Amino acid sequence: MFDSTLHRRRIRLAGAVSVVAIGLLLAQLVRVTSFAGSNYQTLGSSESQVATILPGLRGSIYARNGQLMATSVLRDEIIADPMLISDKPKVAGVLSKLLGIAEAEVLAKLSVAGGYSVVDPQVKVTVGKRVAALAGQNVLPGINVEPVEARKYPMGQTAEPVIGRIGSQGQGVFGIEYQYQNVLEGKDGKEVRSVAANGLPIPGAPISYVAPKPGSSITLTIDPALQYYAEQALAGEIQSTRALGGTAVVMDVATGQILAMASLMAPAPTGAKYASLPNQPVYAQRSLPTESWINQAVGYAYEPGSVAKIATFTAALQDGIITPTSTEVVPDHLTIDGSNFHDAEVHPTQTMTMQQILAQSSNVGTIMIARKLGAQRLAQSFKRFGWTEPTGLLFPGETYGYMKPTYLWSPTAIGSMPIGQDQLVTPLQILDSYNAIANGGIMTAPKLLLGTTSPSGRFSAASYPGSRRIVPANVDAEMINLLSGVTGQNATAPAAAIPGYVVAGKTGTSQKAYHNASGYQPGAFWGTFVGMVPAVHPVLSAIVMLDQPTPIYGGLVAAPVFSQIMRYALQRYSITPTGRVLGNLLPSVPAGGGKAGGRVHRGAVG
Amino acid sequence: MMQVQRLQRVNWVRVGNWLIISLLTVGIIMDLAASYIGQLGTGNSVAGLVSHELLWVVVGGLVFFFFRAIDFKRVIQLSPLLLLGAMGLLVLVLIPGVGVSVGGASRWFQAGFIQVQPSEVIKLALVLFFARLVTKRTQTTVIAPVLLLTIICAGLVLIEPDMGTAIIVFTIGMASLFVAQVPLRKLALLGVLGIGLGVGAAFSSAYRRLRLLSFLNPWRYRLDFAYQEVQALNAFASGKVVGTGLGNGLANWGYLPNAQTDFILAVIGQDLGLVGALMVVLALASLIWLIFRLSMEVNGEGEKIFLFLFGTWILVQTFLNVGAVIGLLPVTGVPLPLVSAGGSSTVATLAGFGVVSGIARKAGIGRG
Repeated sequence: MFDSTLHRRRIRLAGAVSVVAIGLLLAQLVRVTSFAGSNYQTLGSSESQVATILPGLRGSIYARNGQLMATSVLRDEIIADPMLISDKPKVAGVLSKLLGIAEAEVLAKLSVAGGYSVVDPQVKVTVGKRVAALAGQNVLPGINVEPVEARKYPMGQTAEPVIGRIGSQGQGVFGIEYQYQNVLEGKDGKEVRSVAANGLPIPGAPISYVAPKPGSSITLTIDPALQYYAEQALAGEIQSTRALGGTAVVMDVATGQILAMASLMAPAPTGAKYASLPNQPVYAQRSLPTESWINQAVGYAYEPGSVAKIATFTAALQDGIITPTSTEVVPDHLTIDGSNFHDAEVHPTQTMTMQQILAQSSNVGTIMIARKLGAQRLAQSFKRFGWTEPTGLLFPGETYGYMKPTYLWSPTAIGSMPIGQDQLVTPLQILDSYNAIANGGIMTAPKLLLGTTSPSGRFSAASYPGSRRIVPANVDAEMINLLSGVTGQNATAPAAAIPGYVVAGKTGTSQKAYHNASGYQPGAFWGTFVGMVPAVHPVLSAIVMLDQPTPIYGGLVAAPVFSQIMRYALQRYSITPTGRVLGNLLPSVPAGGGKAGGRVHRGAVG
Repeated sequence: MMQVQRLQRVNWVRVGNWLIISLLTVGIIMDLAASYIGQLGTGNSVAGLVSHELLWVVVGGLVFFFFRAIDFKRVIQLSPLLLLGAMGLLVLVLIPGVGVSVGGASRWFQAGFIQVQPSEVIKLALVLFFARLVTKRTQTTVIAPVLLLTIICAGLVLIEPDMGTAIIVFTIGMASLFVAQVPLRKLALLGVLGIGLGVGAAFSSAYRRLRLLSFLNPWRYRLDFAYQEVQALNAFASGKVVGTGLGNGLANWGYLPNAQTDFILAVIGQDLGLVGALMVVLALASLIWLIFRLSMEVNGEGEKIFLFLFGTWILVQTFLNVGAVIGLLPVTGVPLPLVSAGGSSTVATLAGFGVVSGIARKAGIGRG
């Protein structure tokens, strides 16, 4: 029998149970919403928030004329998570068309083990956007697009050892890119967004946003046209002389600005055979010249040879030991402490003028003058020309050579020092000292940087140490006059001559020592020519050095390159034989001198 | 009749109707909030998703009015047919190829773009049939057929497997004996026996044991067994008292599995906070209270029994669902009545409420 009272009672019982049950639910609801553990509260952000690094673009590097040498652009990196891609052939098919990469290649990248595979390190942003859109629509599952920065060098390999390159993490690893890393580097920004489980960004403002800051740009003193020309001329000579490499630097005399700085190499290919030439033990087979690993103009110190005679002659003139017209009786050879010093060619004892000693690069004549001068004065002379000093350029990897202090000089040093042996110096240091002669005796620090431009466009000129006089003006004029003889007939470097212009300079031919043994390698030489033009009023100076050329002489291998580069430069800058600069590509000289044609004119030097 | 008159002062039927409408509306809004980001990813229309859900509510409404209109006696008379049909479907759904397997469970029939879940129908059929059975049998003769049917139906549902619905079926069976006024001592014995068997079966394998008990320490198993649970608790934790706002949180963005079905309360707790979740649970509790109340007040043994069984069904299902979502119970996978998205569940529940509404109408409650 159904009992209504019992029914009521039973429902009340059930109701009581329900109240307890619902009460439990409500209590727990309060607990999980209002008294949740901290790990549950922070889970939300950790799981759904995705940070994107927004690259702060690196600053550009410009040439003196505004031409781009290095610049950065935004690109997208296409990254796959192979573990999230089930239908790999289908995804590969779609990606292949978008990226322009062969389908098999894409498929291989989607099939690597693990959860990370770079499909394309750099695609244009428009392509990246299309890929991202398809990824968001689940057409390309497991594909991510991340903004990256790409460094571009519009001039290709030109001036690579100077400009440098950046590494895989975007930082400069050598050259200007390394030296001015702090100036050039941008500051990355960061955007944090929530994304849905399917990877779609949640609409709305980002959770946090830090704008990327671009780096500052740099303008170099390099003239890209001259740079290119110098590299071509140097490369041609390296090839035709089968040299291991070489360097060429052109400088604006008045300011010390480097207009071109070429550094090439042409090492022996692997497995190359020794040449069977007489007196030529070195590899004669060479690779084609390419940009060198190091900037040899600053990073390569060598025994300079006769270009070192500048120190002896300048000091001797200044001290009155010699005059431009004095003579010296020069024997075939000199014996100092049992060592023989002789000239390049055998000759009878003869009376030579100072100009002849320098023009024919007589070692014996120079050593005789140096002995009168003495070790201390000679060492001082080298030092004021900066031969053991940093140039102030602070180029990465720059060295400043080595010269023994006089108390360590051997008895034969007074023979070897004046003629550029027993010491190490960089091509740029040599050029600096000759540039000081070209500049009326005033030493100017070499410069590669014109200035920096902030992201907002404000230009600040680079600051460099000031110039200083190292040689009296009258002595300097006499030196230029003596050096002008070097490019005449019956001298060591007629090949440096330029029709219509007087070229002053000096050759150097020096033997290469063994790396791992004492003594010199037979047949292995450095050939150097350093000089200035026009000698009447030098506007440009330059050095050309060839590493292990055949023939070996600086006057035969380096001087022609000097001439070739300078002819181009004289024409490009419209420099007259009297040193007037008619063009406007060269820097105007700092205030202090009278201006004409944009340049300071000094009186023609006797 | 004092009680009925007291009920008449407040129009409880109208209150119930509004509660139902409110819960359905909240369900549709939260369904949209929980799935629109995921829907964007598939490229399908968000409107399509909502209209699909709306369609089921419309069908459910029609079914509601159908059952409200026909006489309770007729419904009871037809209940054996409904039960036979539902049991037939339960068998059919297990046949591979006929039933659709989702996530390793064969619970659905696919008919065009709609899915039908027979285990939702069996609950309604059993409630109606047991109401009929209890009125026809004595306190002793009712036990055997109720037990037999309960075991068969719960067994069939368990094979799918659908443990949540099996528990509900078992509870409906026990509630039938309870409402049939079987002595409590016997009932307790049967209940303990049944629960013991169920727990034994559930914990028979180490995997199931871990899966079921992971809710006791969800953080430890957050990467596998308790992932869904941890996501749900995070949703509540981020919702706090007033919520993060509609569509604004992990549960909306695809990080919470089954967000718009079994775990809809977590989405509500996140988006609308403790306030929203409490209101939903209290609304369901109020409906259950109204049903029990009606069961005491109406005349007619069948009606009383049906109302009690239906109320128990909604109560147990609510408890299983909410308990699992807030980490009080293991996850057994039952929808939140009227709120969770899901056609069969919505229609079956609304059919039951239709019968309730019909009974109330006939009893003269809610007529001004």
